[in-house]
Parts: sequence; C-alpha cells; structure tokens
Amino acid sequence: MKMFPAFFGTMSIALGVGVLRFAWRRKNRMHSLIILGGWMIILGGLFLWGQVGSADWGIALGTLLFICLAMILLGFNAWPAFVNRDRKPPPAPRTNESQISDQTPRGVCAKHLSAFFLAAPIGGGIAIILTLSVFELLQTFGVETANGIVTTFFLTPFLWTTIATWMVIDTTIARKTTLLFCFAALSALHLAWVQ
Amino acid sequence: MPGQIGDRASPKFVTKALSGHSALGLTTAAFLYILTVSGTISVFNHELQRWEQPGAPELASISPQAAERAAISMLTIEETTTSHFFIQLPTDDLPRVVLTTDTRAVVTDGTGTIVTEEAHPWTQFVLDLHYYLHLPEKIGLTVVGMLGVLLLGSSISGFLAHPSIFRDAFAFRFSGSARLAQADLHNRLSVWTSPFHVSIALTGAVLGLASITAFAIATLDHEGNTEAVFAPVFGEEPEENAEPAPLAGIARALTYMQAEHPDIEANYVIMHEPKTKGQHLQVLGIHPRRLVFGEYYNFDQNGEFVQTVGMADGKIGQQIVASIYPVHFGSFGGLPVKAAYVIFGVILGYVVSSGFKIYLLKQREKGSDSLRLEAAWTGVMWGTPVALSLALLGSVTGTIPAAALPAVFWISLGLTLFIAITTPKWKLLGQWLRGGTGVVLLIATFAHLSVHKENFTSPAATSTTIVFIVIALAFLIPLLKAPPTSR
Repeated sequence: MKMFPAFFGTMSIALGVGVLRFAWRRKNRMHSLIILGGWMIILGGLFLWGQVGSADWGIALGTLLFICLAMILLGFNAWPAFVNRDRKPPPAPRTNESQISDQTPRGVCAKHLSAFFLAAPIGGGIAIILTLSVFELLQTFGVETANGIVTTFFLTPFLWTTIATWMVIDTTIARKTTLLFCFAALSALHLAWVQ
Repeated sequence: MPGQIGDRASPKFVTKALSGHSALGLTTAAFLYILTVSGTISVFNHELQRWEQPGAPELASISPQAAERAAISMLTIEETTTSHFFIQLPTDDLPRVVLTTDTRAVVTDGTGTIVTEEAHPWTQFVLDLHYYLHLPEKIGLTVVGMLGVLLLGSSISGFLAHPSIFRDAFAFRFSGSARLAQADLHNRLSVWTSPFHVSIALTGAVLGLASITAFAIATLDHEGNTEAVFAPVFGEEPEENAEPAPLAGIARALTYMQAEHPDIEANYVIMHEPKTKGQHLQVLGIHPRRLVFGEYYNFDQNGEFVQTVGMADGKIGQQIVASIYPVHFGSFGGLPVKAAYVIFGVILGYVVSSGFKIYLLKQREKGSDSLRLEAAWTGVMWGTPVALSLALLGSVTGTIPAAALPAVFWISLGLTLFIAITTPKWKLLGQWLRGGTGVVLLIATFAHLSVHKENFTSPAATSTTIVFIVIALAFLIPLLKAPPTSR
C-alpha cells in the first residue's frame, strides 16, 4: 500500500468530517461555504485514497474510512446527550413525524399493503419494460453490448426503486398510474417496433 | 449539502414522503431484518466454513502438479459425469483446497490426496438464507433482489421524508420521549452509513434481479437463451463435444500463472465439461488492490494460455459487474473491511429495527392499541438470532441434518412469533429471547469444542470460537443488569 496518499487521504477525510461537524448548526453567512469546503476536503481525501491502489479499490476503502470517522465523531457528539439523558428534555423536535395523519390500524395496514403491491410487482413489471426499451436504444446508438447489458442490470433496480418510491409517495393514484402506464405503453411500442 | 434541501421542501411533500417511507419500511421490515442479520454473518463465511470443519487440512499453497493429481483422483471416483468442476485454491482467509463437482465437494491435502468430504452445513444454510430466503433458487433470488429495491426505496424516501437530516447530522436527544431518542439515533446512523447501505441495497438488487433482466433480454433478442446475454460480459463457453478426452492440462495452466503472473493469486480452477473434447479450462486470478473479484484466464485442452475474459481490464461494464460481489460482501480489503462491514451491518439491522419501533412508539403515543404488532416485532427481532443459534446447535452436534436446518430456522421463528402474538402483554419476551440466544450460542460453541477437541488450538477454530463466546456474553451480560420489565 502506498503510505503517502493513504496517510494524507485519511487526514484529509478526518479534517473534512471535522469541518462538517464544526459547521453543524452554525447559522452565519459562512455556513454554506464551510460545509462546501468540508465536502471538498473529503473528496480530496477520497482522491488521494484513489491513488493507493486502483482508483475504484482506493475510493471504496476511503469511503469506508469516511463512514468510520464520521461514526466516531458522532459517538463523541452523542456521548454528552447520552450521559445527560435524564435531564430536562430539549426543545420540540424539528423532525416531521407529527405531520403524519391519524388513521385506524386497519386503514394503515390496507394502505401499506396496497402501496407495497403498487411498488413491488407493478413497479417491477414496468421497470423491466422500460429497461428493455433503454437496452434497445443503447444498441441502436452503438453502445458496446457488454456495457449495454451491465447498464440494464443496474437500470432495472434503479428504475424499480424510483417507481416504487414515487408510487408510495404520490397519493394521487390515478395520476401516477396513468403516467406509468403511458411510459410502459410507449416502451412496449418501441420494443414492438424494433422487433 | 445540509440544511438547504429541507428549507425548500413543502410540508405536504414531506408528509407524503414520510408516509411512503413508513409504507415501504413496515411492509418489508421483517424480511429486510432477516436479510441484514444473515448478510452480516455471511461477511465472515470463509472463517465460519473453517470453524465448522477445523480438522480439514490447511495449507498456504499447493503445487500445480498436486492440484492436477487431486482433480484426476476426484474425476476418477466421481460416479456420474459432471458438467462443471472447480478446484478452490488456498487463499489467506480460506487456506484450503476444495474440489467440487455437480454432486459433491471434498478437501485435499498438499499432495493432492482427498482427505475428507467438505462440511459446513450451517454456513451454507446462512448463505442460502441470505441469497434465497430458502426459497427455490430463481424465485428466492428475485424476491431478495426485490427486497434490495425496497431497501433502496426506503433509503431514498427516508432522505426525502427528513429534509433536515443533513442539517441535523450530528444532533442527538436522548432525554425526552423515547420516540425522539429512537428517531434521532435512526436518522443519524442512517445518514452517516448511507454510503454503505445504499451500495449494499443496490448491489444486492442487481445481483438478485440480473437473472430476470437477462431472461427478459433473452426473450426479446436471443429466443430465450440467457447464456447469450451473459456471454459478452462473462465470456462465452465453447461448443459442447461429449466425446471423451484426457483431462485438460491443469498443472500446465497453473505453472503458466505462476511464471507469467507471479503477483496474481490463482483462486479457482474452473472446468466446463471436463474430460470431453469440448472441455474448457479457466483459472480465476485475484488481482491485488482491485475491487474486481478477479480475472478469468482461459486455457485450451493442453493448458496453453488463450486469452483473458476482461473482468479486470476489459469493457467498463465488465469491470463494474466484477466489482458488485466484493462490494456487496466486503471481500475486497481483508479483515479490516470485513470488520467494518459487520459493524455497519449491525447498524443497518438497528436502523431497520428502530424504524419499526418508531412507528410503534408513535402508535402508542396516539393511544392506538398495537400491542400485538409490538410483540410480533420483538418476536422477529430477537427470534431471528435464537432461530439461527438453534440451527447452529443442531448442526454442530450433528442432531439436525443439513437439509433440515432451514425448517428448524423457520419453525423456530414461526413459533417465536406465535408466542409473541398470543401473549402480547408478556413484557419479558425480548429478554427471554436474548437470554435464549446467549445460552444456546454458548452451548453450541462448547458442543463444537467437545466435538472437535483435538483441533481446539487450530487457527481455524480458536478465533471464531472466542468471537462466538463474546457474542453469547454480549447477549447475556446486559440481561443481568437490566430491570426485568422492558421488551
């Protein structure tokens, strides 16, 4: 392992995480700039780690290191709150849990199950049709077959995830179903045409 | 990055996103949790394989001649023709030579003499749980891939639902309500481990769904022939020719690798249709400091090098696909990376579990009666390690055959769920299950010690035994301090 980029890459990532921690909750004009700087330093650290072995291997190791360092800093941050956990509660939450609407358990269950079926089988089917259509487009544009196939391997879960997330977030079922079926129909027409 | 996203998101959108996040999480939480636990254990599957069979010969390397001798012996005693034949060569984390045909696997010593049948039923059971949820192979793989998609969807909807998640990336509120403490921990751990869980979910989804994507492409373009879809990525297999022929020159191929690529560690010898005129010999070489799992070196019948497939230096798509497995299982950086994966895996298990708990706490705050659901979740959360430990105990004592381990796991988990749902007011369920896990794990570890006492000090046994004892104590010790009230 090349010690120089590994050492300075580690230092850079640690510094970047530290800068993010420093910028946390500071509400002055420099706030955004400091945060941007923090992320830039982290990216610099990942770049250095990319020099340690092959770029992909080094960046993967650098990313794991980034998570570890962030978790350590998080631990330091959490410790005082953990020690003082029996004291007076802090101000009202800024999270948004309270915005959930009240529903009966049966209603919640039905809603979640219907969302699951929309997201899973239907979303999956449409994702595959769209993926096939993109694969044929890639072939048309002369993309190398191996690259096209691997693109589709990633595209299926990516599109499925996007559709699934959208299906469960958008509450206007008619709109999302119509749009999705339009996409699917267009893709199916495209596939029929290229056959 | 922090802050600004949230300031622009409308409360209506956030509410919808949170509702979607809950929907995705709640419907899949139990299976995601089981996959997370089994995946975390699978990271150390090589070490566990060694531990299950500590008496098997271990060696740093094997000579090409000995490897060929072993292959000839194996194929001679094999009663039926095998379509694929593998020799697993010794590596740092699995220093064994294992020969595998379509029907069996054996371990050899350094001279190429077959010593014993390979036996790691529990590790295989855990791997099968993670790969297929013990369903039929293709269906299981697809279901697991779909769960990967839903985990990825949960991550994305989680970020959309919590617009201030980056702004509050270091905030903690342990005091106050239990739900806020859980929510803070859930959100903080989620955001900082997101590079891990997003990549795990994506690679898991790709691994699981590649076969149905390939099937769809094959149906469209190759008259249903999926091999034709995989060929441009993983290389083509030559035409089959079943006429008998001498075994291809394994020793020569391995000698070539040692001479021409001394920096590359040969990991597998793979033979397609061995001892036929259509046989095809490949050596999988591990490239150091690369994310790819390796490169296939193709050889002809005589063991002459032909070409590489291109997994390490071919098309970018080939290199990406070759990196998926190491990224998913953390097998690209030795022990430190594996240890990091286990820690992050435990955190992911906590994130899945705490997400469900937050929902339950919210229901309790609203006055809704979700006692049975709460108990069921306790049953899943702590019933999973109990069921895994029971399968381990049955496996190491030899009282449960390998084929029955999935049944033991699912029946135990089902029983735990049944008890949880029928006795929802029993507050001690979680403690009993944690205690049960610790006790069963300790018994299984000591049973293993007594069965393999002659190999007690072997490198394959010692460290894993210690780890099992530590895990068992980690389940037991907090119970001695905890008040006997909480789940």
